[in-house]
Amino acid sequence: MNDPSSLSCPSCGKNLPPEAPHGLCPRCLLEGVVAEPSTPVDDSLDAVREQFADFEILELIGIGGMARVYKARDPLVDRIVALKVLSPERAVDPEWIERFTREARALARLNHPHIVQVHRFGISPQPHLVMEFVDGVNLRQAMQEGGLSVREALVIVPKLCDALHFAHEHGVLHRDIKPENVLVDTEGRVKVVDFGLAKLRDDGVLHFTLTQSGARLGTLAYMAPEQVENPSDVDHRADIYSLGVVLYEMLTGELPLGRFPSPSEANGTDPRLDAVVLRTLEKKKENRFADAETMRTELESAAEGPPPSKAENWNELNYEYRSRSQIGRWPLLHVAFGKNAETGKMQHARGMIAIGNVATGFLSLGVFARGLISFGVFSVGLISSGVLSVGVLALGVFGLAPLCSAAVVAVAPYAFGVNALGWISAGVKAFGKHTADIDGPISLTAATVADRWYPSLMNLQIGSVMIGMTVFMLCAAAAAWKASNRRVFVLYVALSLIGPISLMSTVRTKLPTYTELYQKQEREALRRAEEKAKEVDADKRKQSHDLARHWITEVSRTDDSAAKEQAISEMLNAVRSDDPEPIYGALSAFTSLYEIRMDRSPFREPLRRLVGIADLPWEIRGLAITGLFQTRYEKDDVATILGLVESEPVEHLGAIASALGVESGQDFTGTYAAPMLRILQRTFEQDRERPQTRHPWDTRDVLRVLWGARVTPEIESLLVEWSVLDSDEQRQIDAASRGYNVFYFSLSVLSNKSSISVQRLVELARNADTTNIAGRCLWGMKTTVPDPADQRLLASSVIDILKERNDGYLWRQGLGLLELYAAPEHLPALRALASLEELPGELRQSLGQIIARLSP
Amino acid sequence: MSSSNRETRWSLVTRAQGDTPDARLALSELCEIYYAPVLSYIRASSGPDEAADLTHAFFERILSGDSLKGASRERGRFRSYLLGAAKHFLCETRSKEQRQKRGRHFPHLDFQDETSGDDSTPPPDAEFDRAWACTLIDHALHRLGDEMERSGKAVLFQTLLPWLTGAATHGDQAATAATLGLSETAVRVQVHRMRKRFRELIEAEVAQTLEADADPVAELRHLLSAC
Repeated sequence: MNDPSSLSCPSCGKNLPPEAPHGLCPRCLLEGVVAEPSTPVDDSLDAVREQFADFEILELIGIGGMARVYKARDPLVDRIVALKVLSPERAVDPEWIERFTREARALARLNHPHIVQVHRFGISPQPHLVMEFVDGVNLRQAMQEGGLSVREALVIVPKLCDALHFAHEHGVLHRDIKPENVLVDTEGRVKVVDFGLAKLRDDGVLHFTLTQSGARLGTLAYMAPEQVENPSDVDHRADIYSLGVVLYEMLTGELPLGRFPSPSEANGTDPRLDAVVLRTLEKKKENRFADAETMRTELESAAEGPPPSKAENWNELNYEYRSRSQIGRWPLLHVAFGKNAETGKMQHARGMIAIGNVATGFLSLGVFARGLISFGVFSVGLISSGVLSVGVLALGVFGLAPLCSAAVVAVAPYAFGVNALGWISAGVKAFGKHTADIDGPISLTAATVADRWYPSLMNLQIGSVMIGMTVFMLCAAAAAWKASNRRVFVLYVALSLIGPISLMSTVRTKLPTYTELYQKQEREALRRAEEKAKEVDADKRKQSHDLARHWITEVSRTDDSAAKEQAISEMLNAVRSDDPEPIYGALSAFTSLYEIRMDRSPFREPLRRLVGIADLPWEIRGLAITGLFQTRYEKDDVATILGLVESEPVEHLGAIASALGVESGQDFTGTYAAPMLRILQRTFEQDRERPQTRHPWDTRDVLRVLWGARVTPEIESLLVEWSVLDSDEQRQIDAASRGYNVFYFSLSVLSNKSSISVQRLVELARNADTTNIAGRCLWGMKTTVPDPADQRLLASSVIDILKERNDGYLWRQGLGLLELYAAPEHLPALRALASLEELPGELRQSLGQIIARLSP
Repeated sequence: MSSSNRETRWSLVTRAQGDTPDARLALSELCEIYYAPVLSYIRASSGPDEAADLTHAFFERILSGDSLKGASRERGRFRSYLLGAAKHFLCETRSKEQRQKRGRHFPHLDFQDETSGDDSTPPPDAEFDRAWACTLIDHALHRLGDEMERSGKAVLFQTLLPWLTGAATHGDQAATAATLGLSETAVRVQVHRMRKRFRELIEAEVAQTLEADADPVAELRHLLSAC
């Protein structure tokens, strides 16, 4: 300031005069003074002082269209107050008195830190209000010191929002929000004042004829469009609009007139506030914030949030379609996407068929859907399907239901899914009381229910998800199209294709039913149980065998009679016991010791007892029978045995046959022919019927009894018939045939072969298997063919066979027979045989001896 | 600044008339107050060389003589009166010089006719008015400063003084608020109050120079146009 003439004013740019007071531009100083509205002329002061003698009227601080406001001191309470007095010219008009009263009533309702407080209201001597005195300036005056910064606006406006929200909540509309009606003081307090135009909700429709401008209540620039056009249709959102104008002015210093720019465009304020400001200034009140509280929240979060992105938000796809036809209060079809302009919240589709972000209807599709049948990301309904669905029947990805759910993760009393949790549950993994788990345990109850319902529920689940998603995405795409958002449109169309493509590409494979899995599981369990039992049995049996071996060894001793007696005594005790394994061991040893001399009589009674126990394991009972017949048994014992021939299962007949063999001395031509025949018949029938490859029991137990036995022709016939089992067209058998055992253990080794046996054996002697079959036939007939006629026939047959065969074993057996049975009548044939050139010398010599013996 | 709000410049002028000690005190006060505007005018009219001498002579003449006789509040603005007196003085001085040099007649300027000719004030008049305005502003600011100092707001006054011109920007405001330990809004309120008080003071200053019922705003507007 040393040389003011060289300086210019930073405000107006003019050169500072040399006399510039305090180095300040006189022009700017005076401009500030002149621009300021003049201090009201307080010509009424004396009159007011006279009328309100109770107060110490200090100064006039404001004049409005309706009233004057004085700063005054209330001596009673020694408090500075604002005394608002209805202008004398208005005080004679009942309508103005009514309005003044309304302000008093409005303020009386509103005890809020940001609303000027009313202390008292009176009608006499003039209608007046005693109010809290705010030692500050109004926002208009504050703004004259330069536009407010965003920071300041963010301090002041939220408080105004609070105040307005509070007033609105209490049924009071201000209707005249403007900078002049907002006071700020040096402490940063903010107060809304002048509720002179306030509307009380319970006033009903007001009919004002009095207005300052002759047009509308409120100051025009700050009034919401609907307040100008239709003052009776004003709600709290008009105040929000006015507050928006104030906010815009605070930020830009300008009023939002015509096609006004956003605050950031106007003067580069924080662009994050643009959206909030513009929303409060929406021409249609439905598009503004629903309430001042929301405005405050949005303003604060916008100020703290990230800079606005240009990216389009799918929630902004505002689209709504409502069918004209209605059922009850609901349209048949209601499609609503995006945010509700009125509330700022997500639009809510409500219809018989409702589709939208939030949908409620008989049939509803939405991000949030609820209805009788609902599909959505989150869905609730009688039947619901979606990513997270709750319903009596819940389908989808996560399903929760009080009855039934079929979902990837299903929780319900009846739950079906990849993971299912329920009272009855079926799935890849199932948890619950009755489960059908692909890998785990399967209960028959769950398997039955699952097989009945799972396939159809899964089809329903997949179908509902795919169809629901496709329909929803197509509707969303339509909304995007209507909203001219091509990018989102393409996205939704693409998403809508997922359903059909998934359905087409789903590979349908025939999965085993849970019942099948259950049966398999049961079989497996049974098999395991059997194996386990066998292992246990085998273990026990091994101990029995060890015991038996021990006893056999001890009893067979010749060097230690005490040890022998001890062992016999132990065996006897074992046989008398009730434990099957020691019994088995003792009986095994006892029956194996049949060649050992010992006193067997003490065993007889215990053995009889064992034979009489019908439910004893047969291997024990069989051994008992065998053992009994190794003792000095009695007639009653034989009768017992004979009684078992018909009653015992076929697989038990071996022991009975063996006992009969002992009793009969292997002669089954007399008394025991019939029972033996019966045993053989039963065994043969069983053998004939059973599959060729499986041998659960052994026919040899019966057949070997006939080794060397004498039998009746009936038995022989049976054996011959039996020997044909598994034979070929030439009635030939091999070692694997069922007929082989009969041949080997019985037929070939009978001791009284009649022509019946001989014929069959001659037939089998032509068998290619020399060692096991053909040779054995010839061997077995040595000395066992008693009838001379049969003998001669046999010799002829043998000569015929030998002519055709050239192996040594067969020849030796054949020559053995011829030695026994050849007669002189066979000499020509024998000589012919001897003339065979290739005949080995040894055989030729034997044959020569036969011929020589027979030759006269 | 001994004069109260109620005492106007005209009352000073009235007091200054006569030959009493009080009159001389009042007159010297007047001269002290309005020295700068008169100097500005004379410098603009006659050039800087003899301006100081002429101004000195002008006030000497006023102090020594009865040239204020006949001036009264009813007759108009004190500014116009003083300007008229200065013009008259210059005119007389010049015509005397001319008469001494060539005897040429200069038109006679009667300041009493000048009262309504402010709108076409030539530059020297504007200089006078601007200096006049600055003088008034200076007085008002001094009084404001004194007042605030008395209420312990000297720092506030010094800090916020530049704001009275509206020159501050948002950045300044935040920094200023921080300096003063106030919120930005509180700073606005304080500035507004200062401006309001300044207005009252400057209006009071102006009113002292006007006739009883005159509108001080009109005078302020005039002064503004001169600045």
